[in-house]
Amino acid sequence: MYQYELETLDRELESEFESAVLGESDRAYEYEYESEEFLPLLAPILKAAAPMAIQAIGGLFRRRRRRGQREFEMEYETPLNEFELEGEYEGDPFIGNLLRGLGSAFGGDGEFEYEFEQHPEALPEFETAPASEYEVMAEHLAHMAANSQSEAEAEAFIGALIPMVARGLSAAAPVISRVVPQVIRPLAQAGRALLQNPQTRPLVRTFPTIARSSMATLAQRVAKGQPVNARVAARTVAGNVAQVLGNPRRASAVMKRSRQIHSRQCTCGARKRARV
Amino acid sequence: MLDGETLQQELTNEFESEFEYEFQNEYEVQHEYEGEEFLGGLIGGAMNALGLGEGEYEGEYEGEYESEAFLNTVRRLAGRFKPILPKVIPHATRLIGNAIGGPQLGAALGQMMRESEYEFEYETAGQLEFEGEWSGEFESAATPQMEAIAEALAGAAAKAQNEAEAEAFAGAAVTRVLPTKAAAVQKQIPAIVKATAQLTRGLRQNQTTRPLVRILPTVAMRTGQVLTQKAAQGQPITRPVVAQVMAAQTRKALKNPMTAARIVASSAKVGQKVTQPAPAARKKVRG
Repeated sequence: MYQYELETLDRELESEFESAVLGESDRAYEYEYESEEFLPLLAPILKAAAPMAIQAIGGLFRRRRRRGQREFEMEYETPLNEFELEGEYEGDPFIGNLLRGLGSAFGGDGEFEYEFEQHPEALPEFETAPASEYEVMAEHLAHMAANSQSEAEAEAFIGALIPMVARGLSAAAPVISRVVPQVIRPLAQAGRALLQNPQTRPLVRTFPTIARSSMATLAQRVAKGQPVNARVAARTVAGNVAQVLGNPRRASAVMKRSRQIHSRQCTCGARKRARV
Repeated sequence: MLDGETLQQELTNEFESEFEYEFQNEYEVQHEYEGEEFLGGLIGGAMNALGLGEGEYEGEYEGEYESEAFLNTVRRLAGRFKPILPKVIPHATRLIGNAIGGPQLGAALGQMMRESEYEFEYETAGQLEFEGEWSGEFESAATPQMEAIAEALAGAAAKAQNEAEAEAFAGAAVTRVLPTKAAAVQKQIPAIVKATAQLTRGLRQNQTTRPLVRILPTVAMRTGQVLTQKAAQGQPITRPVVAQVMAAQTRKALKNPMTAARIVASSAKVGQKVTQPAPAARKKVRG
């Protein structure tokens, strides 16, 4: 009973604090993203956000390909006029396939599915899994990135959360350490795309999960003796972005867990400020 | 200009020659140090303490940190840094203050650094600093993976094409080395990251100061250590305290051109090791 009351109080204080700090629109988006009843509203945002993020990662390869050699055209019907999205992508074939897969996933009734070098176990069902201190800090940094005033500052927070995630995966594993630098660039690119719009900005809070699954996948590759270069890393991150942001239900679950960890376990002082 | 890549190439070429280090070389290094006035005696003592004055010794230390090529590189870098550092220090500390505590704290820290500039030049505590630096570098010869990755990330931040990417790398670099054991320090990590982002932007604005981005892991590590000590002593770790400590560590890293150059050169060398392909991948290619 006492525990329940404490949790309720925490939730109230957290909501109070966020309403004081965040604008009304930001708060509304956050609730929409986390609650299953709002999934029909989240889907159109993801429909634009997921390709934006993946296309931004694909931009890392754009200069290396000959124009016209690999060209993928997609059509997105975005109901929100705020989104600016190019309808075609030239570059890496893997990214092009992802984008086409996203187009068909959001266009059809079924869930988004595609094949890529992703180990399913890298994205666990974490409803009841406890969070380590590193995970808490990573979620906090993602929260800071999502609520950051300047874009460059947000990028610094995105970069900072990656070593935290790596420490959480395994503090002593040199394999994880090796792949950390490779993951930063594509994730920063995706972050930049999402931060441009207030509606897609809260989705940056999914990045700890995306970074974690990407590093787990890359570490497995290194352990098997397969090479990990910038292209492989970018493809893996893009795949994981598609895996999370291409599925409204999964994105909602990830956002919900992020909020739970941040509001209940983070010692960033949000509750204290709310009490004051 | 001698950028990170050129520096790395020079260092690689030098160290790959695998020359044997003998007493004569060491004596020359020691002699050169003696010309640097007050540091000469201290370095001599430190070298004797480390066993450098007694013929050959094994390990990578001499190759990395005491070879003449390395010292020449450091001197060249120091020569470039010398005219700009007096301007960089107040600017950098103001940026840190702005990011962590707002414009007032930034202005106060910047002013404090400007006023004490004269004091730095005759600060006898510089000897203590050099001693600390020496031991720090000696330890870094066997750099743990964590610090090596941070140095590589800082190098990537210095060389990144755009500002946002640079700040992402810098944020990752400092988070990599910040201690997370003390809850009070952990709580301040976002503030340090924020200051790092500002500092990275400030240092990257000028082509000459851009390599100085490589000092950020060292500054962050020392800031984390000082804050952890303060927390262990029961002192409150507030934002102004974090700003002051970080500004002081930045000043410490930048106030002596040789110190700054040495940190930059060491960072380039250490970071280079982790940017090589994974051993498993190389093995497969050979097979």
